[in-house]
Amino acid sequence: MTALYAAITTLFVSLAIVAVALLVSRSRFPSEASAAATSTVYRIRSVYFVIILGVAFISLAFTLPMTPYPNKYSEKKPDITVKAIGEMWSWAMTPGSGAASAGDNLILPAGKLVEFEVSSKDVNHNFAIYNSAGELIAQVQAMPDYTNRLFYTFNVPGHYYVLCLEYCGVAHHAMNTEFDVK
Amino acid sequence: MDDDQYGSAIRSVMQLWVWTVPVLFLVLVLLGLMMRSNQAGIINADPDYFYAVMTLHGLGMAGTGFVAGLAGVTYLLARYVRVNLFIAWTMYVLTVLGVVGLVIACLIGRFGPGWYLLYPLPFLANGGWPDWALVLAVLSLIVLGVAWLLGQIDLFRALVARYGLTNALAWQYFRKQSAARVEIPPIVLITVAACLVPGILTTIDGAVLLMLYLFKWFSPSLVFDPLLFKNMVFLWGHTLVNITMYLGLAMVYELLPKYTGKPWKTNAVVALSWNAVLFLVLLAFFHHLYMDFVQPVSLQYIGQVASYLSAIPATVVTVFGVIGQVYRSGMQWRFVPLCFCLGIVGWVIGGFAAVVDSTITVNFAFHNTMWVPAHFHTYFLVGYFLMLWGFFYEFSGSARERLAKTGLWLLVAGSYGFLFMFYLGGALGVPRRFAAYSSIPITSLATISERTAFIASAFIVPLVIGLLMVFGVIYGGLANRAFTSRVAASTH
Repeated sequence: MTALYAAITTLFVSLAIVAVALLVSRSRFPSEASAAATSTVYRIRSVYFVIILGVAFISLAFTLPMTPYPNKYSEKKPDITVKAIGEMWSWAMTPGSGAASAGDNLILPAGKLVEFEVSSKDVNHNFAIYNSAGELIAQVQAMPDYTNRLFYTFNVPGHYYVLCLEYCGVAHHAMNTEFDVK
Repeated sequence: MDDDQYGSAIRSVMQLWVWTVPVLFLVLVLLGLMMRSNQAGIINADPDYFYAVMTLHGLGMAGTGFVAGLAGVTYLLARYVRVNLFIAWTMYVLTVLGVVGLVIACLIGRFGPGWYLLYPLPFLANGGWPDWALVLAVLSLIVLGVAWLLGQIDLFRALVARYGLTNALAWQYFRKQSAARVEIPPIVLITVAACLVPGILTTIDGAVLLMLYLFKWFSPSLVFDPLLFKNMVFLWGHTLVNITMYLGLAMVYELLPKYTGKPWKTNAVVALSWNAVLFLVLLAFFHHLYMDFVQPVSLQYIGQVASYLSAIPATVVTVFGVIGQVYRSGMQWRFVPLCFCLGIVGWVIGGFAAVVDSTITVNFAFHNTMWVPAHFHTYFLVGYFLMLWGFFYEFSGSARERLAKTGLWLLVAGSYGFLFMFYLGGALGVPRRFAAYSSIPITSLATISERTAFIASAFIVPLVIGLLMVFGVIYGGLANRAFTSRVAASTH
């Protein structure tokens, strides 16, 4: 949904920018009025500056608390922990505490808070989770020497896919794995 | 050397850039076409070749844009200051050498770690590229870095020698009006505050990084911190691309008043805005590391705040400056102002899409999807580069307005169609930097990815035809001018 809202906002703002450009480009007035026109534009500028700055601060206040970082989960204990290690060009996902079912395919329970401990054995990768409809629902970098902790609750049971979203060499595009949520 | 001799000498250097840059640009566009066609399944290149082409395309476009802007601004500043001509020539020669090295490393050695050479991938090719290609690429980048550092430092020296650092940064505009105040043309302020100071600092950062890469090649047991290196490479690469945009704006501030007939002067608001850019542009790069959750959260917040705030002052002051210039000016819509104004529109649209993506929670959905190339292709292809083609046209002295404008509209129409497919792909989660989409296990995503790539490839056709027409007109102007001056010299 975030992607959709962001895309629609961008589309409308782009159309508004084009509309303003067309309006300005079609202004045809004798050059005698040009100095007065410039000072009018500069007067409007201060108003717009304040408005845009206000919108930016409101957006910051609204969006900064929505970050996906682990510090937001410091009070919560994950129900399931999964180690996800990237290595050119495959993912190894091992369930840790929380008794996630494992077999050939990893199975995670729906509605539980899952902590993915994501790292890499070689180069930078990106652990990106897609649902079966092809929507990108969560992601985090997989970096050598570091463990990135991604918290996510799968509310919808189904089949999920992990793609690599950080370029990692010649078979980067084929680095993926799958798991189920039941 | 008198003013005429200097003017003619710096003009010769610029002339060489104007001959060279369109050829490079066109080749790099064709590499882009090759990539989109491969993603669409129209052609079937080996993945290692695709990624080598991707690396060359990224490094090439960012580098060509930056150096062409630096050369252009240096030329336009000849009205105010003199740079060292030997350094100006050296920058050209070293750039050509660096480009040749990169072309060999990428197209023959198949060096393909992406433009950002994200540590430690260049050293873990896993069969992707030979050792010599890595060394050649790193050495070539060092040569380019040295060339551009020399060019920037010399221009900085010349401007500071003429105006003094605080005057060049237009700080005198913050004091009360005084008759003795030194007037600073906006091109000087933007070049110093938004381009040269951050440019020099971050080119040094890039040079350190590349030297450490070279040490690692000499002594493979050396181990570096991947998070630190990631910060360093984005500080360098992000800032270079960001300030390239400002080089384009500096040209617009200098040249647009010729067409509108209105003066465009520095005042306290303009000075404050570009000084804000100087401080904020160096902090915006943190938005490239949002998905590195181990990065301190405070830096992530700084990334978003700096990305928002660095965009606002420069955009507001420039957009309203351009509107103030054009509105009721009775200006003729000739090719040059048309390029500038379309370029400003592209810059603002791409910039807005960038600010959207610099929101951490949005980046969680957009990071490394097609949204990223969508926004930077917008402010480059239909933003900065349009400003550059406007300047090149003016420099060439061409008068083929009709042909040039037809080419421009074809270029713009093709470009927006091409870009829309990037945005659509990004909004739908299509990954970037994939050689082929057929390996994606989610059928719906693979289909969307291939179809958007297919339509994008089709739009590149009018884009290339438009570019050929614009470049043809520019080259025609250059050739005509060379012929006229030769005839004048022989009759003299």
